[in-house]
Parts: sequence; structure tokens; C-alpha cells
Amino acid sequence: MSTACSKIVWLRGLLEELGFPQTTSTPLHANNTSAIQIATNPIFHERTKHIKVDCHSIRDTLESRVISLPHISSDLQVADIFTKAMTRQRHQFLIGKLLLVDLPASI
Amino acid sequence: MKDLGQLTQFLGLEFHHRANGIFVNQHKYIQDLITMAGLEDTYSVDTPMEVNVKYRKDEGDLLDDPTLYQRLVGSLIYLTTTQPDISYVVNQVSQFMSSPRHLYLAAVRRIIHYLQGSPTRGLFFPTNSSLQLVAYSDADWAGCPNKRQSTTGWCMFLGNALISWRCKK
Repeated sequence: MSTACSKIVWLRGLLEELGFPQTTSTPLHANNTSAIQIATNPIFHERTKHIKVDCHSIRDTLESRVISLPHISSDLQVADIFTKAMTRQRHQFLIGKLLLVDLPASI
Repeated sequence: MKDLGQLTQFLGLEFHHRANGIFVNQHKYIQDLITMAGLEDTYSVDTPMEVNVKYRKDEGDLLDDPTLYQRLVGSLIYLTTTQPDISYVVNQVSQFMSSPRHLYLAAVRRIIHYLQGSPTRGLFFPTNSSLQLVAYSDADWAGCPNKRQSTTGWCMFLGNALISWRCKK
């Protein structure tokens, strides 16, 4: 999540330089509720180990409204294709979401 | 300086300009890869990886000659430029580059069989897409059976078009 977050910051800078500034905060969809809560809640999580700079950088970008962290159901989590092997139907569904298409013979 | 017109090829990527957008694929590169693997005219499969299979370190017999494995995986890494659907499994098999074994080579062959089913597949960038950035991130919680490291995956869309993604252990 932290690498995604820094990439968002970078991409927003690039898009602004190209003349397409992002007016609203970029939604970073995640299906892990605990990760969202840890990032959202500024209270120190006593039972959460391994909180490092990563977490604080996510919180900072979240507070400055550069990103937002909406929850997404696992069915619609497109990033699934990058973290697990899946069944044929699910694979086909996600390929469609990524706009991965076959080049039709006609065009 | 001479204007060479519209971009059609660049480092193995093929660009197809259409009225409704730009299409990028690596058709010839995939065909060359299939030839390199010696898997022409064989069957194709629907998914690049078997479900519920974890590849462990030091499993099975070592390959006598690791170079073919290394060349195939190297090519597959470049192929993820237009085939993000194989990035997870390529990330998995590339972890065994230094000591490839028969089991992992079988996984690489499966990826190539998968590519055979759709050699013209590629990314489409529609012209009428909005310019709103949307991101998705996911992690498998300590999915690596050897060191219990997690694999993170994220992807970003500009409107409907996929512009950036990463699969990282």
C-alpha cells in the first residue's frame, strides 16, 4: 500500500506537469479493512507491530487529501490479479477490467 | 530531422492506431518466445497459473542447463509490458533464476501455453476515457512459503485505461 501511495503522489505530479491536474483526491481501493483503519486512525495502535515510516507517509498523504481510502469488496478488487492465482472465470473477468483485449482480425 | 509518421513499432511493442483509441501488443515477440521454448503447435490453457500451488525453494531436481530457463523468464519479464495478467506468475518463477528446477520450468511452460491461447492480446487505451486517476492495491498476507514475506500488487487507471501496475514481493 505504501509503494502504491508514493506512486500516486508521483503520478499526480506528472499529470499536473502534463497539464492535467487532479482536482479531487485519488481513491486507492483496498479490501483490507484493518489496513484502512490503521491508516485512517491517528491513535497509536498498541497491538500493531512494524509500524514504520511507510505507515506515517500514508497517513500524511491521506490527511492532506491527496488520496482517499475507500473499501472495495474482494469481488471487485482488480489488484487481485497481481497477488494470487485464480480460476478461469475470475481471470477472464479481471482481464476485461484491465482492458486487455485481443486484436480483432478486422482492425 | 525527418518525420517518420505515426509510431507503429518500438522495441518489440506493436502499436495499432484506431479511431477509438490506441492498441499495444507484442504479437511477434510472443511468437518468437514460443519458438524459443520449442512449443509451437501445442495446446493452450485458460489461466497462466494453477490455483492453490505454492512454489517452494529447493523442490525437485535441478535443471542440467539453467540457461534456457533464464532466457525464457527474462523474455517473460519483458512481456509483462503489455501482458499485466502474467505479472504475478512471472514474479513467482523469477525468484528461482539462480537455481532453476524441473518443477519451475513446468510452470514457465504453462505460462507460454497460456500465451499461445491469445498471442494478439494487448492493452487498449481508449480516446474517450476520462482523466481521473483511480488506484487499487492488494497484498497476500505473508504468502511466501519460504520466508513469509508478502507480495504486494497495485494498479492505477487513468479513466478506464491501465497506465501503471506493479507486483512486488
